[in-house]
Amino acid sequence: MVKLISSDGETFSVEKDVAERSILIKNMIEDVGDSSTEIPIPNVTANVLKKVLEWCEHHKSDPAPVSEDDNDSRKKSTDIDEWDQKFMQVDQEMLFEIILAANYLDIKALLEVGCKTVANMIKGKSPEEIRRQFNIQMDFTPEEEAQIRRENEWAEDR
Amino acid sequence: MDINESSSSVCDHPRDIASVLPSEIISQVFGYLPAQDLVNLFPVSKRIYDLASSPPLWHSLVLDRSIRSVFSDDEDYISRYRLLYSPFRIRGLTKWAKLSSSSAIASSSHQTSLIDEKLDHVAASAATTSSAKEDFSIFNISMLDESRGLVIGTVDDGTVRVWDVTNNSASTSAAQTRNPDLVNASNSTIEVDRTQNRLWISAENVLQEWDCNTMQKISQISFSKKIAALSPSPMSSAVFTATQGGIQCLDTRTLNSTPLSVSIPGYPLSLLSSSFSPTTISVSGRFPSVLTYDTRYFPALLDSTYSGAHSLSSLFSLPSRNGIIAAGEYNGRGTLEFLSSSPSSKAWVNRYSASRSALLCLAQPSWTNEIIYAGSADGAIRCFDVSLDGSHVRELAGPDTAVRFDGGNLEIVNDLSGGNNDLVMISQILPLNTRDCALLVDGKLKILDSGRLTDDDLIDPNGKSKSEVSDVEIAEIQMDQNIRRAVRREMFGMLNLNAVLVSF
Repeated sequence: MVKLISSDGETFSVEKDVAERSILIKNMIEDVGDSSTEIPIPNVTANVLKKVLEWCEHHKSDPAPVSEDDNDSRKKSTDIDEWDQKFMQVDQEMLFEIILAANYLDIKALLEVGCKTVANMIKGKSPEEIRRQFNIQMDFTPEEEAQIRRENEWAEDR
Repeated sequence: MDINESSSSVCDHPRDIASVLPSEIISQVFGYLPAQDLVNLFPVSKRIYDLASSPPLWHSLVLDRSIRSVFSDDEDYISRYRLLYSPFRIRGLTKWAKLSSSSAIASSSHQTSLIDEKLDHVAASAATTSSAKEDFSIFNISMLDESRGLVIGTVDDGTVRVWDVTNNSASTSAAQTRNPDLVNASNSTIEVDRTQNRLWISAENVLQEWDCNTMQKISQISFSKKIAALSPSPMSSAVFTATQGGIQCLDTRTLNSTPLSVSIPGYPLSLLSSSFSPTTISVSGRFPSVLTYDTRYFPALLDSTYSGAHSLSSLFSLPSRNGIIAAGEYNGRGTLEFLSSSPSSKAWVNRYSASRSALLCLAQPSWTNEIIYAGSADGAIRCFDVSLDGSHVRELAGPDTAVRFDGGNLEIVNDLSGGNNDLVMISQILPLNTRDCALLVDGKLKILDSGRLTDDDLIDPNGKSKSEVSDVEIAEIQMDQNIRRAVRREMFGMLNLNAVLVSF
């Protein structure tokens, strides 16, 4: 068992192969050489870490990720398997936190699922809807916005 | 990784995605989006705009071979998309104008035996049955008067004709003169010698000298072999002809005296009096080298450049780079090569992305010295950046741009040996003015309306400026300045990528 300590001090005991879904933790364990030591995760709060570990638990027996030597842009599909879709049905704040944690902990597959989820939230939406969805402040002047729209009309007429 | 501030503080109001997630993650998210959604993101906010328009994102989209699915097989989008990646000031082909009333692509099937002939700049003729009056094939064209847009050409019905190509409504030739030698000829070439006001016309193995003003034949001389190419010398009273296995230099003052001649190692296809070095004449053909002779001491060989190509059918002088561009065929594909004659410019060869089939002719639009147009044996007109490495910039017309004639698809095959198929060969391109080119397409004269002078001209919101012409739209292209700007920010260093992009 590996002990992980969240940024807000909560301790999680997990199986070694669950924790090692995170390349960061895997490397740490290798560096320390002793899996019984407590590993602090200073950037992830308990509620997020709990969620991330839940994902790791479910995916602990997944085959090791194939080496990413070829460009990931080729895998354009945003298909997400059913369990992951359910798993990602969280509020947006949590979704971002999971993505950030996956990025920090270096869990490539989880990061991908998170990014695909966000991509699916963007797909097919108008600029206005996207702004509302992600609470983005519009910082173009009306003239600038009109110009961008005008210049992009070619792509909108299909 | 850059998440320090974000994960610790949970705010009361939902946070902006762009402020929560670091750029590389947002880019990864955008990497899953098709082009349409990326464009939709542009007006959202400045930061989002910068991320969504970032060139690497769009490059990976283009490199993705599933580009056709991205744009749901819409040819128009593909051509627009390509244009997006063009770092040059060119507007794509907009129109084909029909010059001759019956010059719709002949649906005759050309014989296999003719294919080879056509590669020698010979228009298919004999196989076409002459039913209509205008059903003729043009062997070869030349610019008679650039300012007035007069093109002169030899025609297989035994005439030499002049067309006014600036006036697209002129459906027939403006003037014509009989030339019986052309009737049974298998090939013919025509060159205008402005310094001496002469027309040089070859028909099979006969060379004719014509007066430009009277349009009358002055004299003629016969060779023992078919004349494949001819070139009047810009400097002296000499005209050069190339026949099977040799080049001849004739003194125009005593045309019937025995010409100086030199043997060459194969069948010639192109003769070039280079404009930056007028005392030289270069020859290329079905042999792997380009040979250059000194015209003052003909037949002294000045230079022999080995290219390795199987056949080089066209030479074009590039004064701005002090060298010669050669186009032809290598291993069944097109090749475009730059042969430098000065140590300061580096030679290059583009055999990878130049063309799927042999390149037959070259031309440079008058407004640039960085771009060259090449016509291919599969009906494509492609443009290349010759300022750097001959990378392919864009196809102006051809198989990939879905050229349509008279509502029907232009049938184009790449297989030169498939004798039963129609081959659409662009055998000559003559730049007319800033916008247009006259083309010889399978023995028919066509107009390529292309090329704009300035960047701003690229956007033509109405698209149809020459409306009265009964022509067929190919792609109405509206460039988008902002995307282009965004892409171009980082495009200039990526010309080689361009070559890769359009090769599929």
